[in-house]
Amino acid sequence: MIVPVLDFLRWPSRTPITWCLFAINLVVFLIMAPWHYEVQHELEKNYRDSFFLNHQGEFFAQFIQKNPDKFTPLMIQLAYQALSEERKSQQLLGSIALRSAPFVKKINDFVPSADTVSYKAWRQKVDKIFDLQDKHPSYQLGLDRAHLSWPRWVSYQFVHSGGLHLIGNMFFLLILGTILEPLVGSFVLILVYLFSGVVAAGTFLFFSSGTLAPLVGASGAVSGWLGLFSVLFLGQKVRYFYWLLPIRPYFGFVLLPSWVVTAMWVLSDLAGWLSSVDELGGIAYTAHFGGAAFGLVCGLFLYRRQAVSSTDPLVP
Amino acid sequence: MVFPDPSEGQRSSTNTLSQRSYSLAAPSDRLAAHVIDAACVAPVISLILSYWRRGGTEALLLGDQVAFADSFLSMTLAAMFLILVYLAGSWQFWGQTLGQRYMQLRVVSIWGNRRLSWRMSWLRSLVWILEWFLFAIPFLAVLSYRRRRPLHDRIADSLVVTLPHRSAGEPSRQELLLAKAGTQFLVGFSALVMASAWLLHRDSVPLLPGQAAAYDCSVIEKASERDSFSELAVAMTYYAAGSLSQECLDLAANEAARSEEQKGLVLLAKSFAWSERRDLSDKYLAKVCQVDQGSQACLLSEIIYLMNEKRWPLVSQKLSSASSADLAPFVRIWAVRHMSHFHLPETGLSHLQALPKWRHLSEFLSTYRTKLLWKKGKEELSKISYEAAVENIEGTGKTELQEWMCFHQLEDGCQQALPTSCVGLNQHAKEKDFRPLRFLTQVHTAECRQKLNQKPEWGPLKKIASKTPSLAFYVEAVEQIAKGNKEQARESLKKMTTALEGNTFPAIEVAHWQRVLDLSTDMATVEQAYTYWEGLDVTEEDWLALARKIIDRALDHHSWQTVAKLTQRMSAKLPWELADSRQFLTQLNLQSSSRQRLNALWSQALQGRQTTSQRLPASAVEVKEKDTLQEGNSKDHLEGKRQTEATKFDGHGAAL
Repeated sequence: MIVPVLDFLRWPSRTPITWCLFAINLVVFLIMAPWHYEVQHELEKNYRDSFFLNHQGEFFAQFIQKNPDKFTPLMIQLAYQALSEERKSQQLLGSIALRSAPFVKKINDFVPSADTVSYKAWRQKVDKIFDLQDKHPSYQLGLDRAHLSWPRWVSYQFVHSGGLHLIGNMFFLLILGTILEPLVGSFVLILVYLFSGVVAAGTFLFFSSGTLAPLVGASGAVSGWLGLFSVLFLGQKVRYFYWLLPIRPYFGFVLLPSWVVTAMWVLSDLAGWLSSVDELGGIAYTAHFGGAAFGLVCGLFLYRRQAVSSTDPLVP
Repeated sequence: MVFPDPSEGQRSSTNTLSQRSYSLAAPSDRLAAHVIDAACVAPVISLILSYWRRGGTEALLLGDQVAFADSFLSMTLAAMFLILVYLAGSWQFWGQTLGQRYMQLRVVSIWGNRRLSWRMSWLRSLVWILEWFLFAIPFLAVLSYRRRRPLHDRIADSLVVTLPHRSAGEPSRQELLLAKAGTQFLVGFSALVMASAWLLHRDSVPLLPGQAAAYDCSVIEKASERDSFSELAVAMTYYAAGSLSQECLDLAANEAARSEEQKGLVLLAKSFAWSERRDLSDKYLAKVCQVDQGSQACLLSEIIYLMNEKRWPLVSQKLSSASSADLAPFVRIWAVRHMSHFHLPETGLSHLQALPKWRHLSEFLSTYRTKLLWKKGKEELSKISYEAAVENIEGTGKTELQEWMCFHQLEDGCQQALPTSCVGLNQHAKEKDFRPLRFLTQVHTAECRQKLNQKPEWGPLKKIASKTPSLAFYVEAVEQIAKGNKEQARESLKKMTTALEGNTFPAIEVAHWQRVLDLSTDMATVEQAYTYWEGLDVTEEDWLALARKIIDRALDHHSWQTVAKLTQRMSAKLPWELADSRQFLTQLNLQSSSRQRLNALWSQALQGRQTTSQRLPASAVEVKEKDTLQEGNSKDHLEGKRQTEATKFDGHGAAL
């Protein structure tokens, strides 16, 4: 394991905004957690119903077949397989159908070729799932194409879908925030955070037009800080901590160029984005790019104004 | 600070190992260098591999295993090639990788303290990669080998060196221990991985090829192409015969629903496919006749309704009222099952004959032909059919037929030589694959052997039954019965009755009560068995078998009043609307001796109206009177009429 330790984490008095943002994210998560898990559990229970999943897959496949122009070749192929009596494809389509924007948009008008009992049973379940989604924190505070009110553009930045999601984002938030805040100031940092989040959301909505999965998490905003860091610390060396075994000398620090952080982050995101299938959801790579690009522009602007020395090593 | 290139300015140098100008690198630094390499290079490699990764993901989603394997292999080879190029190129041109540069390490040749030649660089790189396929075990030599040279260093004649102040020196005791522990851990871990892979692979191989083939959905299409039946009708037939999974049936129903044809059959198929979801299944079933009145699907849905409510006589009535020539194969399958359970072999065989000869129906056809012929009393023909069936059937179907045949052959009476159907069954007498019918058959075999003094094997049976008290008591009781110790047998059965309150197998419970009734000396036992029978939820065959035994025993005890009382109670408790007790007794298909006794009692009842009216169930007396009035008092004539009525009622001549 190797992680950048750009500087020792500074105490809240020196980096108030970073720790404030950390606290807000944490508090929001802790408040939402019981609520989130309760609704999530209920949702998952509904999705475990094989009757619902199979029939939803069957109907979604019929919808794709009737509207092929709205779907990718992969989805069209999956629909073909589902209608050729392949259960796995049916179940896969069933599990992602309610995230598909074209399908959900037309769900009330679409009547599949099916017996009435199956159709009614499926519709009842769909209505139940929509009710549950309305109660879900990720759907209430997250951002998706169907819910674009302005508070959501900010609120989504403070909501996380799980413990690991929060830990990952907060880890980089603290690492980057504690080094950037003394350098650029609290006001600039919070502005970059919020606007990076907004730009990240915009990028996500632009690139992911077919999905209704809500965008949540601070990663877009933190990507903005990464872009800022990449410019401001260009050509400098920073300290990394490596941990191989829990005995000396198998852990320690090493000085590496700052671009390693950027490469690790951006290239990994790029690889993830290129290899991912949009319809399956997961990590919003495009939001990361948008956030990072905004941070990069801010960094260039600040770099000119503040003329941060590239020869002055921040870490001995 | 970066460690200087020792080869610079020394290309003609003759430095030898004895002239050391370097220090051996510490294993921790070498490992850290590779971690840094991974951090720097892995994102680049993963970016290059993203094309194959996406292809692999898509292939996985589409279930295209060939394309997935292709992508996976391409990705692995590409990753190996990129790592190979990165390592070999770094060592050849710079004598160090990026990570080694930051950890101040350098890879040098042992022959002159300089950079590796291109051949050695590529060789070292290749061996380094291959060592990962040995679960990284060869890397541990860096901790234990005196000069810290793992396999790749020894093959490429190389050393990893560093600045003197970072020198590791020779392996310490701690490092040796770490190498040992690491080797043991990696060997154990790799063994575990390989064992798991083997187990997973083993489980993925179908144990019973016949079974695996039975649930191939494409069989529907093949049969449909050959005959003029719709795919859904074929699927329904195969499903009813036990040759098709619910999943295939559901998929066939979906396909038919898309073409908006056979709406009733679609609903019926759905009700079968989702039978585990009772609420949904019932909804489907209720709609069948609404959308497709008068169809075969509607007829079967009505039959299923009646079966669910255990209204067996009405099922028989429904089946016999339908035009036999027009029955769809999927209805016939249900008809055959019903006729077999209710001892109506003639009708069952006629339906069996009319079924199409599809390949995946062969197991059903041969199994039920064997059973129906046996029930018809054509034991020899049944045995011939059985011999042909076991030749062609595979898997559990074969074993179940063997068990059934063995059970019935032994029930028919103990023979000197063990029936061929029983040979081999006892070889599988293992606890882990316990099956009630097999167990009963084994007990039956031992009982016969005991009676014929042929060294019965009670030991293995007792071992199988040892963990379940009720089974142990059952084996003990049968052993005592076979030895002629009736009193001890009764004791064991009494203990088993108490033990039954826990949980056991319904078929064995029925067998137990049959034994209890066989040994009964008083009517209290018959009443007790009847009380049990009332709450019984087993197969129709077991249910009827026990009912027959209860009536038989009551007749044995010459307790006409009890017979009347029991039949009346049975009628009252039954969910269907029986016309009278006689119909029920007809349905029971009583043994001929019992029928004779009952007829005698009935005759007595007819002779003395005043006395019998107190004993006979009112409904029975009414029927008798009606018969008598219409047909006169001739006993023979009356008997003939009863026979006709019974035949009319259930399509079979089990008259009283």
